[in-house]
Amino acid sequence: MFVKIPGVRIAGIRAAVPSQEIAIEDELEYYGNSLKKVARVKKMIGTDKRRLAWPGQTASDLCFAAAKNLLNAFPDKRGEIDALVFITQSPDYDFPATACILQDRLGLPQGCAAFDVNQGCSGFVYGLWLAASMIAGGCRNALIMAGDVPYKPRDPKNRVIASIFGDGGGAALVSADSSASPLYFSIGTDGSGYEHIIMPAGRGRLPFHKKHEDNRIFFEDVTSPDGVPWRLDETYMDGGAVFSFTMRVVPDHIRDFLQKTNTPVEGVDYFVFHQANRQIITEIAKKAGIPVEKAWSGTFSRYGNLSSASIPASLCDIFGSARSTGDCQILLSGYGVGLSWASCLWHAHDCGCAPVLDVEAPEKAQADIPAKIEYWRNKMQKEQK
Amino acid sequence: MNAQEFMDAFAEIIQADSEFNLDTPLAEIEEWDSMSMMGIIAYFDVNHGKTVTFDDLASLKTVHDIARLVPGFAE
Repeated sequence: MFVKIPGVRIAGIRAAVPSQEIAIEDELEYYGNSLKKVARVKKMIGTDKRRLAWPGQTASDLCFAAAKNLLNAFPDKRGEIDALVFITQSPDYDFPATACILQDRLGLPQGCAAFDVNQGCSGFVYGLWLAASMIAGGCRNALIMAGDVPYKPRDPKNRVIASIFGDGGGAALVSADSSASPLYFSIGTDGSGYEHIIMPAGRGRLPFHKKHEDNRIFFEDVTSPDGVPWRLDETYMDGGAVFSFTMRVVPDHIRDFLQKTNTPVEGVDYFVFHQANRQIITEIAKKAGIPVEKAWSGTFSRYGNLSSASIPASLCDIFGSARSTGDCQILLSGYGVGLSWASCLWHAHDCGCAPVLDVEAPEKAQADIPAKIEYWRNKMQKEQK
Repeated sequence: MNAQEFMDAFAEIIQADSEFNLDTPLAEIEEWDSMSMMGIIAYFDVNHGKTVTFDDLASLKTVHDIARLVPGFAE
């Protein structure tokens, strides 16, 4: 699809990552102790440093940190936020929507609509589109948050997943503003590729067994011939298939999109793509006829692939120290799990930014699993009158 | 594109330190890994407008086999 939405201003953006960092050099053992191999991966893909959530820290916690910092910069808006959207594929619970919990944690008015959206790589742009659409429908302000943290720590032996992905959260404040330049969006879907990035087990299509002892099969390693351990209850990704999809769809999509907006490539100041890895960003730019130096690729090497938080983190890396985007034309493009892709052409006017925030470890109680289990068991054992 | 031009481009894409010629088996090139394959696939897509898949590459044996995928490659 292609839409033009006037009267909407992206007022502020923030991003937050856990302060816990790991460097590829820390994982030498997974590269046969070869510094040469590590140097090669760094050079070819851009893998360098990643951020990992602290125990007890969820995607909503990282997004909360970003949103809290953002709202502090717009104190007058807090009471006028009409909608809150949390884009994630790792919610705090299946239900209720984590967005509801965030409404309470952020002290937003009870007159605020709140819901979760299940998207990943394309998620932040989806969030901007939803916010803009809600503003066009009459909302005064919308707060979007986007990010992912896996439910269990990634297995470091799985170099396809563990070496690439990092944890993070982003937030954006979107407001009604009749003087704003129109926002353009183009979003697409190819569900035939749904198996290329997927958590196969645990929900409707492949549920866990009722009997506990039958579930072992879901939690066991399935190791590929080249030594990559997968599990049915964790993320499975066919890297080659995702790469092929990205090359086949994304560059043409970007060119078509720009043409529909009557904007030449030279008219865009910054191309901010989902930071899947540094190599793919370069290839997308080359195929789309975009000067490689205009296609930002620095964020992947700093924090890893942050899923839907990679675009807000990139914007904060680019504009954070200046505290503002200033006046410039930005093309955002997210692509991946779904398969899904979403782009936005944004003529930014002084959108507030800050450097990517570091989030320290939460209080011990937040990581205390036995205590949480006890809490729920006690609750369930209370008679309901 | 002639043999030397292809080998220069190939060496650059796969970031090869090691020496090789057209007849070198791909299995013997240390740098012929999944990262290189992605680079080669992207190279054919961007520079020659040609779709090469991972399966296509898996069936090839030598550097020459890849060179022959280049449209108009001078044997």
